[in-house]
Amino acid sequence: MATDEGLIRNCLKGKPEALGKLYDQYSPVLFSLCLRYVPQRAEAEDLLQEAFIRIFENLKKFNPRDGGSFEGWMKRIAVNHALNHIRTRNRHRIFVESDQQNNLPEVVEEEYNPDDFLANLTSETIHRLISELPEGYRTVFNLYVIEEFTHREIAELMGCSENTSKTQLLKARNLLKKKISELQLNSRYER
Amino acid sequence: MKGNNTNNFDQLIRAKLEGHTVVPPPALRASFINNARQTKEWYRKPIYWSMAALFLVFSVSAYLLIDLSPSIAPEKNKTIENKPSDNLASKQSLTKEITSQRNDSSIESKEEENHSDIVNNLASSSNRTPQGQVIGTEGTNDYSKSKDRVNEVLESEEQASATLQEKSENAVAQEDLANQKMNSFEDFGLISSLNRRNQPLPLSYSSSLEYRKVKQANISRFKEEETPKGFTFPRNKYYVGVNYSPEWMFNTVGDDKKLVHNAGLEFHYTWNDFIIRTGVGISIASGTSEIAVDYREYLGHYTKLDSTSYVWNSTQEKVEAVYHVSDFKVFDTTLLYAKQIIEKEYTYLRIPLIFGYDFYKRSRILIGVRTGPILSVLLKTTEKGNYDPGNNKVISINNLSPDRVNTNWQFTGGLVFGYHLNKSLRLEAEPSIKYYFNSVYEKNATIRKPWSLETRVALVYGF
Repeated sequence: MATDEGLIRNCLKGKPEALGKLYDQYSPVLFSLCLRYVPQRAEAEDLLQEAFIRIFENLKKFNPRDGGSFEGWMKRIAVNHALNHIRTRNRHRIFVESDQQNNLPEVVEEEYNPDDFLANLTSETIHRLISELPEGYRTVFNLYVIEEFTHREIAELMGCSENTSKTQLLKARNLLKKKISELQLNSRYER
Repeated sequence: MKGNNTNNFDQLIRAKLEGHTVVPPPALRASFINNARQTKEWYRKPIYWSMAALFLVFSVSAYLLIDLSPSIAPEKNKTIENKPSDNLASKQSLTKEITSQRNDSSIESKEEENHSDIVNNLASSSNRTPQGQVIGTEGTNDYSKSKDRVNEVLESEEQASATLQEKSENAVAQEDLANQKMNSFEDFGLISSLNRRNQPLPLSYSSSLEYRKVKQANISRFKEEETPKGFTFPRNKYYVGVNYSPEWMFNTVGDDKKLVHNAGLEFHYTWNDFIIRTGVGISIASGTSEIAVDYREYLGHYTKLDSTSYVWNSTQEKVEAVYHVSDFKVFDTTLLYAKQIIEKEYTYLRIPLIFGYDFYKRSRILIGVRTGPILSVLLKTTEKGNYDPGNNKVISINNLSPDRVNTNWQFTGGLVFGYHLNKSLRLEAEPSIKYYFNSVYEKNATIRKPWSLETRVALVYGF
């Protein structure tokens, strides 16, 4: 925390080397987070850039005595910014071609146990599989499973009901399990 | 945040992604550092210091105009306020004493005091003492000189008493009352004019006909000298004019330009020192709108044979085939994403209703305060350059930037500085601060209400 405090102090003074250090230290984590919410790389890069600016603008508000780590605080800002971006995007949506998003995933018959297979998967693969989820599922899944929000909090953030959040999570989980199962099957065939 | 309802699957996913990182492209780093350095705290921005300096300059100018420009006049005014009653009282008592108790020695000492008051009062109205001839008001040396002058004046008053005896006490008093206002000016004018000429005070200062003529001459000269070119602040009741106000806005979104141009026609109605100003104007603001486009890339095209028909060629005497084809475009199945910036220009109709009070109106200068609401109605939005997808197939277009609202209210307050070019035409400069009651953008929690600094420059015609 002491190093974070020093880093924050130097960033507030506008020292370029401190800004660079802040970016180098935390951008990989935050970029991964942005990609989880917005899979398109170019869009995620923009999101990361904006999130970092927002972090910098609010840097003086961060108080380590409030509890919580600096990284956690930065992640919270990035998540809020990503959600805001998704909300704005959807609010101003002019027309959307609906592909597979409305096709609800079937409940996976647990022919194989994905949990066992999951333990052997790399984080990159899991990240990719989450990115492939439809936007609504992906957002709720990220918020609930990774960020550990409650359904009530997700409902407030997303502007939907708690039941919608629960349903979306269930479908997201099923779809992800299905994808993992497919991956597991493919890997068996390859062997 | 959450209870213990997480299942094994969720925990595994979370554990897997705990330390997951993706390194962003290196170009982003430099971009962030540049942006962060530009996004300094407000007090580090030069614009705020410029505005503060401008405000300071205006404030100091206003102070100097009010406090220093009439630096001669207020002293005279002071003399005007303080001296007449003293002089009048002194003269009246002097007249009474001279006519009724002329031989009384005790009264003579009173007369001496009264005369000394008169002379001191007269002399106090002028601090300029050319070559030590004029009586001073401060210090013992000046006092001894003034005493000599008192004696001189006393002698002259005794000589003048013969004339005064012919008039009744009431007549003299009434005449002096009638001239009370004038005396204050005249005394100063007389003394100052004599001082300038290095002439002694006239012996028959307070009573003679000659004195009155001198007074009249000094009054007219005084007025000519102190009101240059004879310009007095015009009292027009109505004014019409044109204005232009550059406005620097804060709390705008993204790349929206901060500078807004306002221009219009205005009408003033003045009632004593109060004014009401209204009018119509046009306000032009420009900004950018960011759109996100999901599209499928154009890969090429192919020609599809729909049908074939055969016709008889009579000249060549053979059957010829006619192919009916359609052209089909081929797009990539991968959905791509692109951002596009479109410049927009917003034109508003501006209707102000400004109330004001002019607290300083002298000669050609006017200083006052102005405050009131302004209504802006969006008339039109012009887009400069539309998004061109080329051959690509656009799947969705999302507007990332919020649009502007159709109507907004502002409240402005500022100082006005006016300068009369002549009796009818006046130039006005009005630096002001403006607060927007509602955001100029569509409702969005992340956007704060804008405010702005504005300087109105106007040329108005009074009638």
